[in-house]
Amino acid sequence: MVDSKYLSVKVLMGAIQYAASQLISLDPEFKKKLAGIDSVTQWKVEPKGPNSYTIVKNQKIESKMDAIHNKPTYTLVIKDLDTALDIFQAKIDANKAIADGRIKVAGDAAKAQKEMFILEMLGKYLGDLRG
Amino acid sequence: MSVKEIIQTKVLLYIMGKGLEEISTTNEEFKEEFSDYDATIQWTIADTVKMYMKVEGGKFTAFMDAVVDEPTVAFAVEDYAKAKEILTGAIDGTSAYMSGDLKMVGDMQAGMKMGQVTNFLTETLKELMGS
Repeated sequence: MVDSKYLSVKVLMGAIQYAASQLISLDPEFKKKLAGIDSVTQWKVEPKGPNSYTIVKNQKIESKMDAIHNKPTYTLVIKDLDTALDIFQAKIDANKAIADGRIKVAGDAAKAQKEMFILEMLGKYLGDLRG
Repeated sequence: MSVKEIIQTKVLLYIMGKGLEEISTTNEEFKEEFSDYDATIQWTIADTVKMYMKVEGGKFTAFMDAVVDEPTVAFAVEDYAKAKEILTGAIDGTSAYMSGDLKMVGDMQAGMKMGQVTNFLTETLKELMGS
């Protein structure tokens, strides 16, 4: 039996990535901001996942669940499932979570910080999803 | 619908579809309870956001942004705010159907079973759905 919190994080992680891919065709400002970005973000939630990665290239976003990329630009390691839920529901700011150690960055940290606007913009659209 | 409403509705349908994909393959209780469920289920929100699910022996597969010919049962919600309440579990499907906010066309039995399925989903993903 899969833990319900694990399942919630996995579904939400996929939903956020789906939302990002959809927002490109709905929000011209979002698409404009993706110009020039060429990166692979690996997401890992401690201790046992879920894991996924997101590729941003040519103003398109593609994601793969339950997958580890062999050469990510940077890896975001989220402390635990509760933190992942809070981040993906925009209850806590991802940059703040990096600053206080709830998200650890491996790889190109400067690029990671620069690209956090993607999560921020999604948070503006999805922050009050549950009403 | 505004961009925010479209994105939120897409994400809520994603959570339902992908959540059911996950649960129907990992949750033994679900598998036992819905093993005789076969149907194609179309969802349409405000005539704009669409998704369908194929169910074979209780196993769900979701197809985002897609329409199926001749679904077993088709659900439609015209009003975005009502759709949000239904899809987050804030109001249950039966009440929404009785009040006319949720329209159902096709096999009534398959439709009622979908209600049981979504109740199971909401309970399983309680960290996400907030129940």
